[in-house]
Amino acid sequence: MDYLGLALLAYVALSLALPYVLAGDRSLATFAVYVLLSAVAIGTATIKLRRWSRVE
Amino acid sequence: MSELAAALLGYLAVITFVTLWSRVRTRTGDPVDYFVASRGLSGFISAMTYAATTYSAFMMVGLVGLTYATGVGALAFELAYLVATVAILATFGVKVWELSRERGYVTPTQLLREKYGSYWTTVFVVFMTAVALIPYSAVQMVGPATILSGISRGSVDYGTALTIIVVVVLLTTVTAGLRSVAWTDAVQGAIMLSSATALALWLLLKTPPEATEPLGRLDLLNPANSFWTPQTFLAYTTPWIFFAITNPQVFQRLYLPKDRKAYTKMALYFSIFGLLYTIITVSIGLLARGLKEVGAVDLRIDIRSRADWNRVTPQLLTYAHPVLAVLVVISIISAATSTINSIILTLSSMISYDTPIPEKLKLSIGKVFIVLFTFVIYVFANTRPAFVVDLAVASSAILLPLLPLYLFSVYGYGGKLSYAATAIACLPLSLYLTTARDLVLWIPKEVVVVSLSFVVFLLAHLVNRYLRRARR
Repeated sequence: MDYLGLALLAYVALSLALPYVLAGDRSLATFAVYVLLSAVAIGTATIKLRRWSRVE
Repeated sequence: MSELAAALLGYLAVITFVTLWSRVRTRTGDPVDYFVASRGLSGFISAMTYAATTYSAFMMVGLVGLTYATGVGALAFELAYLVATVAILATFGVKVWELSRERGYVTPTQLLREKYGSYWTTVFVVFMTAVALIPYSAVQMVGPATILSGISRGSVDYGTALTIIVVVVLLTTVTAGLRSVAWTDAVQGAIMLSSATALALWLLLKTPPEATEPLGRLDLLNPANSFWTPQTFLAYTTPWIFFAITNPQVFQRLYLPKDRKAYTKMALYFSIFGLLYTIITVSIGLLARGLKEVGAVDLRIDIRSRADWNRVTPQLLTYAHPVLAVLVVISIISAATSTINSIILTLSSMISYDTPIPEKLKLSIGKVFIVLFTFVIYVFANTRPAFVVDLAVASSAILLPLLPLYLFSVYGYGGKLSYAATAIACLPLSLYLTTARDLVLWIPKEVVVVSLSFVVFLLAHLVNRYLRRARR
């Protein structure tokens, strides 16, 4: 697995841990952090897949 | 009622037109074309069928209610699922797509049968998959039929509403197989996203600035509030983060893109759809709760009763403009039918390809099972026996033992013994564990099922290796 694949696994782990990192927050920080994390994961996956699709 | 009748007729007309249009493009008599569109779909259509199959009526009914009652933790749970699915699509999914090209797979279980070489274990896996997914499909029909009957104020009774949904499911599945399912999924996905956006915008315009204050006061903006304990969060997320692997109707969608570029587009467009749809549905739940707390709407929901949470969307629609309410109901029907037809088509393809049926009869037997499964689902939805509801709630958890089987099959690990041991021991065990209400464990049952499945698989693999060495 390349470093982008490892980064994606790290994002999954982070998405499971984040509620307890942000515990006690009463603003809309959780909303913003999760949307940002999802966007970064989608971007990373797209870069990884674009590299793979160029091989053909 | 006139808006509802017009919207229903318009919806049925569009679905019929798209279905018949897709039939023209189908190669008749070819089971591979019927069940997986000859693995030749564009990136956009692949993405839309992936999204519409994945996102069911749960989003606009279940997730809205869950957010209303428990707050922003519901967003964390749903986006953890999305991040995991994106990771699966970019790593494991790529391998599955490549294998499907090389080996000509039609069903997910063909991969298991070929990699592990056990025919009857595969038949058992197909049976257990049907046990998990048929009740789930029945419950998918119940929600939209109840809402449709409710919004028409009884002029469309529950039985008629159910019949409308069954007609859409049968029409889109039997007519042209995967092509009609995928193309109507694209239309229904667009209906789902646009209607949810319209409802969220209406709520946003209706919400006064002070409506966000009670959300903080009630601890609904805290992702780790009293509801979202680590155990609850894990119990919710464990079946979902592996959903793209363990649910065959989603797994089969990995076979569909025509080339690598189409696969990349499928992953990207699905991810964007999922992110937008999740943000919108969670926002609807939070805005509805804020409006209720400042007295702008009188939603009568008992927060202590989980069954009551599903009444948030139907009650909210009584305040909306009739046209908006009807659009949202159509979108909920779309979400349900686009999930059910994919499940039925995938299960029928598994019957055709993974049980002893001669090549000549694969297509006709597949069509017979589409009608049979639809009839069974209709009967369950009409009679609503208690065991069906129990199985539906546990459906994704029941299929968790398939996780090590699919993962290791793609990466070439394990053999017939580990396959048979995991399937035969863990699938019935997960069925028992996840439906036994009286059995309370400190660790979420879903985590127990996943852990046990991996342990059984690896132990059986080690025993197999030891026996092989002993024979030498």
